[in-house]
Amino acid sequence: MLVLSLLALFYGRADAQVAVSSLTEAQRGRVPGADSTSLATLYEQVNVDYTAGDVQAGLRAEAFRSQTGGRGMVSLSQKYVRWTHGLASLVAGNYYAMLGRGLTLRAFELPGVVLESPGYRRRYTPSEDLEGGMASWTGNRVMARALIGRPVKSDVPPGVADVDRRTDWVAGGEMRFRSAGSLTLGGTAVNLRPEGREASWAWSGLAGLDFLPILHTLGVKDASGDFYGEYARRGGGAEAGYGVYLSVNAAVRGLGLSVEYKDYDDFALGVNDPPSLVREHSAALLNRTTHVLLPLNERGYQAELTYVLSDVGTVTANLSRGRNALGAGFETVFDERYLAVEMDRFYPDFSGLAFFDWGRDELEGMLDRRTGGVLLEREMAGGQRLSADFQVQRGRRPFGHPDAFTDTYASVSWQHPAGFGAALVMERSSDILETDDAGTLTQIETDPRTWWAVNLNARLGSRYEALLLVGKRRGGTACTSGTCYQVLPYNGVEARMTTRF
Amino acid sequence: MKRRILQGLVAAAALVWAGTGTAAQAPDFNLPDLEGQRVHLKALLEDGPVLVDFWATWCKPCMKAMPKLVEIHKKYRDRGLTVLGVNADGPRSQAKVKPFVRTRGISFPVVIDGDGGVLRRMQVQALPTTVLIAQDGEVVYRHVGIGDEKGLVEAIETLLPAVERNAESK
Repeated sequence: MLVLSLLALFYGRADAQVAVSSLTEAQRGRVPGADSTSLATLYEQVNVDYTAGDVQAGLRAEAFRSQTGGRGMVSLSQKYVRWTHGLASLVAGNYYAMLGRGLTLRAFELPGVVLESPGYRRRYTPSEDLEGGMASWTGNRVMARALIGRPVKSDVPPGVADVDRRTDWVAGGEMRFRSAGSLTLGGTAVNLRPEGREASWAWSGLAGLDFLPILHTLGVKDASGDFYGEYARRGGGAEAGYGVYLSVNAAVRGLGLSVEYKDYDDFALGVNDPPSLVREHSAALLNRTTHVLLPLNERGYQAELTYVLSDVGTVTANLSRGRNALGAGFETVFDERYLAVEMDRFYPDFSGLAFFDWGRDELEGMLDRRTGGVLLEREMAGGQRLSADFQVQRGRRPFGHPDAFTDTYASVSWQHPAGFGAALVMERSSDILETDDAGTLTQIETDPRTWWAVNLNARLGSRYEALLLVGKRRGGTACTSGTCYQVLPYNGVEARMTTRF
Repeated sequence: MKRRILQGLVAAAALVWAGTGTAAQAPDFNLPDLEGQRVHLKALLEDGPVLVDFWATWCKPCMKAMPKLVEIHKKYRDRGLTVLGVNADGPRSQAKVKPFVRTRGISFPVVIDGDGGVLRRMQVQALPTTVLIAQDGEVVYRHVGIGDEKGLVEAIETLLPAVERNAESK
């Protein structure tokens, strides 16, 4: 660090720039079922990135303070130096990478997500990065990368005494060759060295073909498509497994089709994140019931058809299915059928979306789930926007009395183009998993629960953004950027400020 | 640990001292487009300013912003502005990106940030994020969400006359 400081001082370049961003979350409230009284907590994250010519360096510091002793932490959670010149790139420190489509390795971060660990009750950024080094060559015809690093146990927050979050090692790489005719062939390989267990390895072969040149040769215009396939195997040690991912997509004018297939068997490597073939929903009630992939054993497919009528709207239909064979003849099924109609504009300044979804997820104890919703938006004078969102979900579980439940979500929001807005949000549930109080062992509560919250947002120029939540937040699964995580319920006030300069 | 944090902060202070200003310089990146061709930010900046839009197929506000971005691309491309879409769909929905782009007639180049490395380096915390980068690599405009079309167009118009003057002088 001292050397870096001296180098920066004496060799700082005239074209050097520093970017600093910070994220602060302050809470005053409680987690129902865990806290008997309101607590005050403060989480801060600072990112500093220095760029001078071909070199970029940076660090991230995180700090958490809680009224309850023993939960605080200060951590330098990331640091890196990157050199990029033309097609070559070297990075040392903390970095992200994906080999192939993630069947053998994926190191990533969910932007802007701050979680609270249910066990340690510490807030932190759950980054799934690697700490080590990576070298890449990314040309048009040839792409090669080699990496080595230690993955992080992202369910453990930083700064926990006597817990080393990085005990394992992984080394690997990828090579791809792309022909002039848009055929891509390549492969990935990883060597896994988990602490205390036998080392193992995994590799994959991949192929991709872009149909556009073929279609043009055949004189087919206004159409495109491609194919991608990856076959992976795991070996060494006592473990063996495989993973297969195939995708074909095509588009002809306004009609688009995407079909994918997956078959994963004993393919949870600890550092990988294969495609789940489950639709990512923005609707709140569907987002919280997203099926989570089980790479230990899951086979299935997803097909999505969209039809876009320019300046009118879009129709989307999605069919997803998965089967998990969990051993001893025990199997569970995931099914989903989704249909949505989106209108870009109707009746002077309105736009809207209506959807219906039917699903079941036996692994999550959901036998039958039907969800419908409507989102209406109106653009008003001066660029203000008013929107109303209403969703209802009826489901049935294989346990509980009653086994059926109804969830409702409603929100009304207003946004001003000057950069501020407000939303009123209501959720209500009669799901026995929500209504029952775990603290009363001999009684099962069935009265529906309701959560009310007000969300305020404000933006000042391009440097400052603030969000304020007042009320109650329902806990459960939340999904963003293709990854799902658990959010704790919360009652109270939460303020979030992002600063960039 | 606290000593190391303090050393880090001292290093950061030295870096700020060494830097010539507080304006952010966009880091160069090199990502594949939908046909697998590599797109370099530095190479695009040689032709003029670049408007980078970070988006994903599952992001509803991103969809709302697309028609305006297509309009900006058509209006300003002959004046030297490049609109570049950086897609942040992970492996879950990456297969839908190409049909999505083609069916909606998105005519500006779209690249795939599969591992999210560029998002992290550009300090993108939410989608959509729109960043306007001047020819010297400086970030001159940044906006999260939708609803600031007017501010964006003003920022573009402020940049483009300078580009046109440079082109004339060459």
